[in-house]
Amino acid sequence: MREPTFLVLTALAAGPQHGYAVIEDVRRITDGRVTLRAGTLYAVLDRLRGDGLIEVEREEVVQSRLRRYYQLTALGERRLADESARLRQQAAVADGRLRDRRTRLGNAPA
Amino acid sequence: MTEQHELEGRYRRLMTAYPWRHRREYEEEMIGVLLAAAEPGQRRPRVRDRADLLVNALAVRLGGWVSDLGDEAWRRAASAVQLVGALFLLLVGLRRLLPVPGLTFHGEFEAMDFARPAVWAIVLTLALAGLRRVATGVAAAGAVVEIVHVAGWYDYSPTQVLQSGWLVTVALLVAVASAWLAGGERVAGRRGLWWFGAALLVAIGGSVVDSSQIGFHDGFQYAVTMDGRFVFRFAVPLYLIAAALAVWGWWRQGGPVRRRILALTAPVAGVAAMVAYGFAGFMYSSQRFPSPVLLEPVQWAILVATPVVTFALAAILLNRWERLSALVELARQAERRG
Repeated sequence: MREPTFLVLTALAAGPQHGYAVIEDVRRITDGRVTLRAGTLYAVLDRLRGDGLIEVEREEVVQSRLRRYYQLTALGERRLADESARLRQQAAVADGRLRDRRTRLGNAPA
Repeated sequence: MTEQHELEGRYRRLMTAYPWRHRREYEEEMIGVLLAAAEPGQRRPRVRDRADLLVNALAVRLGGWVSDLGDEAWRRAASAVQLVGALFLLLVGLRRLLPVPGLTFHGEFEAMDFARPAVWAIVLTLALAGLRRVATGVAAAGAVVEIVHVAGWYDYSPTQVLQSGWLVTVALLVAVASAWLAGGERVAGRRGLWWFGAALLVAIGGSVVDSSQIGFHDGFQYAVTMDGRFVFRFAVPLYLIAAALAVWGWWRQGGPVRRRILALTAPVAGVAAMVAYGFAGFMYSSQRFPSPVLLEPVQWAILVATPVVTFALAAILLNRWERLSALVELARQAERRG
């Protein structure tokens, strides 16, 4: 799963959100490191809808413009949980190896 | 006009890069998001937004084409092109080895003369046996064999190379169709392919009859007159029967597959037409010099681009035609209901 996809699913895990709110949320989640642009965001949303990982929760018209709220489906929730577990497991391996390395280097003769 | 209207107009123009389906579904939402993210007083889209929209529009279009090309009708058409193309190349290769009644062949057969039919016989067998990946590898090797065979003439007769361009295109087409079918669902229930097989056999029979009647000429160089005299060519009825069988086999594929077969074979016609009309002057002048004029890099580029461009145009035309037909059908249904 690519990072923008993971981040959009993570944003929607908090609850239904419309497009601009997802962009803002992703910026918050990543401490400003990732700013999704409209083209990328809607490419991801379209793919996730096609794969059945998200769905439209409701539509409303704000200042004569359509606004759709998207939410995770049960499948989307499972896929995000799997991806999150995979990343956690890989991060744990990386942490473990870094710890070992520091121990090794710390014990090495100067 | 306010700044926001101006900015919105520019974003809408950028949105035209997206396919219609995507625009209908998301354009209003995307414009809303783009305007919400704009700075106060901003009149023009930012470079990064512009690039993001254009890149993603292209990706959506490519994704649409790729998923369209994965549909069953395309795969059936690719399967027909793979099998009939391989059989055609096999028979063309065998034709060279066939003895012609009344004529003695004084040349010697080379390894290449046996390699050509052998490789296409293997491709055909593997494709029919369902060994799709191996068939792809052998078909690629077959295309290389055909290219090497034709390339051997280049130094002394580039005209002959050009005239064989369509045959090399058929070989490449079989290789591409094989690669296309290597993954995904198997194509089941092939229809009407025996008719194509029968058509090819009858056409080869016609070619043998032609050779024994009017010599080792390409049968198509003479219609029904030779040196101003009427000649009844015994092969003509055979060619007509072959054409009728091929059209019948093609017709039996059903509308969507039929149209896709035409789109897939368009590159062969495109290359033949390009050589006949685009390179007519080159072929005329190349033959008049004692040492033949060779092709320039730009001419090679045109030759290589022709099949790709022809297929792209044929696929776009097909897409437009089918979309238009669907709209007409919807309108008819609405009329009947009304």
